[in-house]
Amino acid sequence: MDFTTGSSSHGKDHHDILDMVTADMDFEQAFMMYNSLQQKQAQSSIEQLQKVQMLNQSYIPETDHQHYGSHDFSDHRSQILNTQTYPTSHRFDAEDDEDDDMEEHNEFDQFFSNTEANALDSFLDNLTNSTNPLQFYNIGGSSSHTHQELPIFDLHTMKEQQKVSVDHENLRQELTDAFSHPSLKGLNLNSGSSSSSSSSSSLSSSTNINPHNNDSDMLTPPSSDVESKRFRSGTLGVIDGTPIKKKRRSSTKPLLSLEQKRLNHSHSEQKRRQLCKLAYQRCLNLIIDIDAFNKLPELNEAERKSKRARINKEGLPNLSKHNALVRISNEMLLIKGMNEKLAQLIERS
Amino acid sequence: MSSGEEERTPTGRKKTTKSSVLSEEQKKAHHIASEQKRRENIRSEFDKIVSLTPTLTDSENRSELNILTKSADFIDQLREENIKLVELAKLKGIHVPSELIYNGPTSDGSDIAK
Repeated sequence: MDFTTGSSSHGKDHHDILDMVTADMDFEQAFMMYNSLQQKQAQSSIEQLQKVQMLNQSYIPETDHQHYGSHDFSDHRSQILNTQTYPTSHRFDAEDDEDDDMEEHNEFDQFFSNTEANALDSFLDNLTNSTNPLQFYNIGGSSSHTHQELPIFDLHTMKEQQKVSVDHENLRQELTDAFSHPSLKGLNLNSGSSSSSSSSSSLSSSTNINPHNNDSDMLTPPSSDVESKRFRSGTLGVIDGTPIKKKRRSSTKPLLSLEQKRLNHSHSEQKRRQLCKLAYQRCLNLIIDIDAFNKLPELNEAERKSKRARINKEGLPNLSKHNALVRISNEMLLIKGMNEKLAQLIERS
Repeated sequence: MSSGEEERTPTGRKKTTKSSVLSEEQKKAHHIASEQKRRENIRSEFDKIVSLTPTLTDSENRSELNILTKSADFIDQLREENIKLVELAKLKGIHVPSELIYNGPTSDGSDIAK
């Protein structure tokens, strides 16, 4: 750019320099902006990382909460889908809850991994599919009273809650698989069973017709999870000790044995080869006069007819396998023939 | 053949490469065939040694170590037999021709590279 303009005139050169200065200024500004942007990005990423770490630290209660929220959300969604007979106050509550849940959902949605998101999606689909709106509608229509209607609905939610506990366990299983801390698996199963038991207990306890009671019951699973978490954190040292031991036992033992196997195998293979070598050398000594062989003058290239070297790496006659075997059998036949002739001679006498 | 290839080169490279590929394939086939031949020769020699050596049975005709060990044993045994027979003949006052007395391997390996 400079070269082409510089060759034209002086005035233009000056202009170009000014342009360059401004360009430099622009560049500096841009660079500053870029730097600030990068810093902002870094800060935001750090914040995000911290959030993620926080979530990871308390991922089980969080997910439970989340789950509860999603359950509530889907529940209300199904309710909204088929509520003409609903009491308005309840509906308002439901909407408020829904909003809260939505917020929660949005807040935590970005932290979902694919498996978690899939699990949640399938869960929601199940919930929405399981509630047949028409059936629900008919039952609601048959009973004109809202109070008579409510027990049915409550029972329905109870059923759903039961399902929730099952799905809950599934999701938790998936989560644990995703995070895959082997020592926590048993614990998670325990906590899952405890939560399910608590939900079942809530099922048995909440026979009275009260949506608020239902809500309070639905809050129990997270609390039980907190308990389980406390239990885990309290017994972490003890429980972490045993799985690690187990892990060591299960991981190091096969490794060692594999190593041993490998060593044994290589050792035996070396032994076999050594034996083969020794046997071959013995055979070579029987079929070739090694002393005479060692005294042989070096071959001059003119005499050579094959590329084959006469001496191998170990200073032994470089026989091909077939050649050596032929020589062995020839030697056998030679001595055998001698011995037979000798035996004949002896017999004749 | 080479002259024919040289004639083809000005007309087009494809033909020469094709012919070279073919020759490569031929080389490969040749190599495989000769390797099979070599192995077959070794196998036949193994069989021969097994048939010669009384301590070797047909079941161990593919065990190189067994064959080498037992054939060496057998040669040693034959050598001892030779010595005993020669002694026996001498004891009986029989003249033993020198070609019937085994004096170790006659080959010095000078024919290996030829």
